[in-house]
Amino acid sequence: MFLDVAVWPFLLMFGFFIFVIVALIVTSIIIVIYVIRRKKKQNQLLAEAKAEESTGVKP
Amino acid sequence: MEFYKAKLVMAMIGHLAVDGVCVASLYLATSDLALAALSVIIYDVIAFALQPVLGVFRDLSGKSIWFLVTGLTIAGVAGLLPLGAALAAVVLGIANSIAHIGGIGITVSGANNRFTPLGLYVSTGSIGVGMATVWPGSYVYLAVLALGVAGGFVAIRLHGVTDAVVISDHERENTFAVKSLWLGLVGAVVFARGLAGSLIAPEFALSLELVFFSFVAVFLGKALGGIVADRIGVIWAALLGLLPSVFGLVLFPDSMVLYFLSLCLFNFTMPITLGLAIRSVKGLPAFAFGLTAALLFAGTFVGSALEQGEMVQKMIVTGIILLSALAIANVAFRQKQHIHNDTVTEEDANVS
Repeated sequence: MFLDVAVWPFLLMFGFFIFVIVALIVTSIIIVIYVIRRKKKQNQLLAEAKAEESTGVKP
Repeated sequence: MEFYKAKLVMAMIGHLAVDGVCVASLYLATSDLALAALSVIIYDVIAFALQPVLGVFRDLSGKSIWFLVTGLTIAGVAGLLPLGAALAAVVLGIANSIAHIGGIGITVSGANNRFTPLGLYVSTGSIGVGMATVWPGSYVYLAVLALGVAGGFVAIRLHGVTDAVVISDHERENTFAVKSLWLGLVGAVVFARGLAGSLIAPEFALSLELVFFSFVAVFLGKALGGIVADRIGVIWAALLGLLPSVFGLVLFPDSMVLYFLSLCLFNFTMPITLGLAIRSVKGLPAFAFGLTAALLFAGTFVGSALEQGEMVQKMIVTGIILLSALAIANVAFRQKQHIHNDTVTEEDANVS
């Protein structure tokens, strides 16, 4: 047998908790990427609106 | 600025109280050893791994004081209630996570890129955990202290003092950004430090007093690390902290004096990596703090599960310490170059 039967519950629990930790870290990184992209888009739209306002020409 | 110092001291006391009340309450929640061990793991996973997600929400809202007040209040009340081990682990884990994120928001709001406030804020948690470990019966006092600090912050908020510094930073910059390479390197160092920290153990008998003293050594290391980094620079502080720590932690772990001295020096890097992580992001300091906390715990968790021979452990710890020193120096050098290049560009723009 590859591993003692008594080891499996420990490995399963360890794997589950590692999965939770990694999942929460990845979730936060995804939120950060979304926030950065949204902010960039907002700033771009704002800049375009300002340019349009000052020149009267759509960029 | 004076008011910032008062808020920082209160956040430090809050950090001590919340860590203390959470750990002490969990120790006393059950007499079943297996359930107690599982509760501590559940609590740790929630308390550490939830911080990056909560950090992003704090950075978007800027409501540091409310985060800290909420966390302290939940922890204080839950610590005094007989919730049972499993429920206590979940509730206290969430409360601890919220409080930590609020505290770092307050700390960063007036830190002005200095490491000293970061070191002072993170240092007091180890005293709280030490008190809870050695005197779990102190949970009542720690819960009352947590509620008292929460009340103090509510009074400050009602007095009209806001988190204006953080909000105005956001409004002025109007942008969020992440330097992935810097943050990745710092994250790797923090993970490795957690791994190494869980593998090192003294080779002399630890009495209760010495266990508490080891928490005091960690406290001193974290607090002094920030001050030293501001005085002599990040690179020298990291080298001064990490390299000599090999003597006490790896080469002579049977020497009590060398071990405690090395434990103190090893923790110099805590505020340094935290500061470097915060400098690697723009407008997201609490996220950076949360990420380092989660990675530190992930390293500790993986390290505690490793069952290697003593020699292999020592080689891993030595390798991690040397690589950490190199990585920290690398990130600090890159940030210095980046600041230098920005200054040169600004000077060029002024000339032209």
